[in-house]
Parts: sequence; C-alpha cells; structure tokens
Amino acid sequence: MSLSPSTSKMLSLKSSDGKVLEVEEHVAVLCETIKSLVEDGCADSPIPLANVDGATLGNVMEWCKKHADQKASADDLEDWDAEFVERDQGELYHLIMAANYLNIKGLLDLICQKVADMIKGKHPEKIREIFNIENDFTPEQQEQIRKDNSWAFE
Amino acid sequence: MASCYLPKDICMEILSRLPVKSLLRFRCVCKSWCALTKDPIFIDKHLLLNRATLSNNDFPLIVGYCEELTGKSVVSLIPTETLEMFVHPDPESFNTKFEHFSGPCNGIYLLGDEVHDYLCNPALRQLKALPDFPTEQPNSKNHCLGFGFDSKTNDYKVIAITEGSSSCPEAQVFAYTLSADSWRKIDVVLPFNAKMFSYGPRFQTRQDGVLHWWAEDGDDTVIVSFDFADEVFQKTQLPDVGLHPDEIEVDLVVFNDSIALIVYPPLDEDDYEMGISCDVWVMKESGVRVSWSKLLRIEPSLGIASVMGLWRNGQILLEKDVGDYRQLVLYDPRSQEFKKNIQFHGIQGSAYVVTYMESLVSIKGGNQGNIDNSF
Repeated sequence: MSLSPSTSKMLSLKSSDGKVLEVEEHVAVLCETIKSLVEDGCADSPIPLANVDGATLGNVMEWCKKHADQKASADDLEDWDAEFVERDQGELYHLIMAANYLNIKGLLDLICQKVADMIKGKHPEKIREIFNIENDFTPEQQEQIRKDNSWAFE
Repeated sequence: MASCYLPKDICMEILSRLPVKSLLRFRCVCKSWCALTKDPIFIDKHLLLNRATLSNNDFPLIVGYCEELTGKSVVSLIPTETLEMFVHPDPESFNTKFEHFSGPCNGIYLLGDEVHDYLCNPALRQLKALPDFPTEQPNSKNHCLGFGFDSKTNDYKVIAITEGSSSCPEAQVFAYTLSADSWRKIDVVLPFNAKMFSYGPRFQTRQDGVLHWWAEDGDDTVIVSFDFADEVFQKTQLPDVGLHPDEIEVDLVVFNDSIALIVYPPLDEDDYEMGISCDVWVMKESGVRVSWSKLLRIEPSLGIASVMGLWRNGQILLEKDVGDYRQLVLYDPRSQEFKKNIQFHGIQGSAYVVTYMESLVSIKGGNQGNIDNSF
C-alpha cells in the first residue's frame, strides 16, 4: 500500500451484530482477508464480517491501527502488545477466532502465545475446564498416560 | 474461554508454543490432544517455533563434566540470561561417565560412555543405546562418530568411521539410521587418512545437514565435512597459520553459522603454568579455503585452560583453571573483560558445553511409549 495515512481511503466494516465501523484502508488491510477484497475491487460497499462481533472488531482494529503506525518502534509495539493481551478468557477467545478468520498472522501469534503462557503450568483438569473439553479417556487409560509421563507431573 | 469450541488448527497454534513438559502432561487432557503431541506435523511445527523464538546463540547451555572426587558424570543446565548453573532435573539421571557428548540436532544428542554410544532426547527423557556395528573386528570403540539429519529421507543418521587395524587395514564407514535402528556399511572414498582420525571430536557443527570435524591427513591437518543426505565427504585445508602442522593442535567450534578453528601453538613448560594461548579462525564460506580469516588471539596471560565455544556478540566461553576448582568464563575480546564465571569441580579436560534444545522428536520405536523407564 503506497497510500500515506493522511490520504488513506476509508473502508466500512460491518460486524455480525450489525455495527458498522469506519476504518482507514491502510489499517484494515493488515487483515489479509480484507486486503484480498480490496485488491479484487470488492471493498466498496460495507464489508460484511459475519464471524466477528462489533466489540471484537473494535479491538482487532485497535491492534491494526497501532501496528499500521510506521512511527511505532519495535520496543514500543512490544510494550503495547503486552498490555493489549491483558484480557479475560472470553475476550481472548473471540480475538483468536477473529484473527484466524481475518487472517492476521501477527495478532494470531500474539494471542496464541498469551494463551500458551496462561496454560503452561496448569493441571489437565484445569485445562479441560478452560477449553470445555470432555475427558474421553477411561480411568485405566488416564492412569497409564500419567504413569508413562509421571515425571512431567512432578 | 469457557464453553468455546477451539478449532484444531488454532489448538495446534497454541499448543506448539508450549514447553515439552507441559505437552506431556496435557496428553491426558483428551484423546485428540494426546494424538496431536505425537503427530509428525505438530512435532515439526513445535520444533520450528522453538528454533525461531530462541536465536542460534540464545539457547540454554548443557554443561557436563566428570566430578573430581566421585568420578561421577554431572550434567547441568545453564540458562542463557543469567548463566547461573543449576542441575537440570531431567538429565540429572545420567550417572555414567560420558566420553563424548555432542548435539543437538532437533533436540537429539549423541553421547557415549566407555562401552556404548547413545542417542538421547533429554526433554523426553529418552536414552537409546546404538546397536554394535556389523564389523568383522571386535568392537573396540576405535571409531569416530557424527550425528545429523538427512532432509532427503527425513531421517536421523549417525556416521561411524572405524580406524584401520592390522587385520583390516582399511578404514570402514558405517551409517546408522534411526528409522531402521541398524547400521549399514557404506562405500565411500575417504578423502583423508583415517588411521590418524581423531576419536570423539568435542565440537562438530551440523548446519544444513552437513557435519564438520577435523582430521589428520598424512602430515596435514584438515577439516572434513560429511553431507548426511548425499553421504559424501569433503576435505578443506586449514588456513596458513605460519606453523608446521606437526607443531599445532586444533579444535573446532561453532560460530553463528560458520565453523571456527582454534589453533593452539606449541607451549613451553613455563607458558603452561600461566595458561594457553590460541588463535581463533573463522571459515566464512563452508568448504572454501580462502574464506578463512583470523578473528582474534587469546594470550597466555589470561590463564585459560581451553576454549569451550564461541558465544553471542563475539564473546567466547572459556575454561579457566583456578587451583581447587574450574571456572567457565565468558570473555569479551573487545573490552578484554571477563563477564561471568561458573564454578565447578571437574577433572581437567572432562568438561563439555553444548546448547540445550527441547523437542518432541522421539528416538524410540512406535509402541515403546514408556518413556519414564528410558534411563
């Protein structure tokens, strides 16, 4: 994108709950999904984003705006990102799904790393609770895995 | 994230950022997570991310040595940031005396004691003894080993060169593949006189599936490289160090992606009291003699016993002899300052330093799931 921020065109993005967000094009194209639409000339009408709700879209665009700012230094971005990911599990989940759907690698990497750091030291029971995963092992299978990897449970 | 379904590719993105220990524990979360940690695609992704986050010189170090009083082998892990020594809980179980310890190649190490050679993945706590190779002569351990990854067949290989003997004057070359768990003899022409080959090189590099070590070729000392995919040897002459090859001792270390040569000139008795002196040369282009350039000289006044490896930002890891104990020191040649020192009580010449890297790459066959009893 050779457009400078001051002359950047505005794009309308429409969230799943019907909210319309006006975003500068050079910010929105950090989403690969939107970039392809722009390149194909399909970005004139409000772009419907059926999988992203308004609140999440606002958060995503806040991240894109910061990362589209060419004046931001690497250290500055790192600090800013660290603060950006300080959210509850629900918000993080919606951000991951949105980053995946909109194809924003930098944001997806950031949130995945945050979630990984959050769950690193946790017990399997807690993990099942966080991700709402059903334990499909029999007690015998479960015991065998624990035995085989016993030192990892120390 | 309550009551939220996580698609498989996102699950993979998150889990591939976890340490090996967490992943082993999470095997009992559910069947699909358990299967994921054994999936080759996931294992590769985990490996790549691990390598990307930690740059080449940022890995923690494994420092091993033979304890002076007990003769026991001690293996410790040193984090890069603090360089404080602590005994790593995983390789602590090592209780034999290792004669060589090299690696890592995708988290796997090659090591050996007086009797056997092993592959080891310390993060998975796996240790696997290599079978004897099919040589007609008794297995005398008069062989030189190297370990690497063959990207063409996606397999791990160990190369062994046996020293010629009276009954079999020609050196023989054997290749072990992890997938077959066996050795086969390979017919290659050695570009050097293998009789003079050094046993158990302390330092080998394995960039891009090519292994380098040094050998004596007649009157000459040369760098020998072996390509694991093509199974061919190549020989590179040393730089002109202004001394006759008979007079010098050499060692190899890794420097970023280049191979560095440590050249020790002959020592007088008096010099030895003070410490060694040596020159560090770097081969900028692998296999090209004219690309050798001299990086720096270490003076005897520094009181150094040996060079252990090159560190990030041009710093060097050195072993220092301080009477009752030994030290690993980090030396900055520009400021001529010693930055850190790690004390240990080890037998002279027994210490080795390799970088520590975690991976899920298993060295055990398919149904040998019981990694807890591997040591």
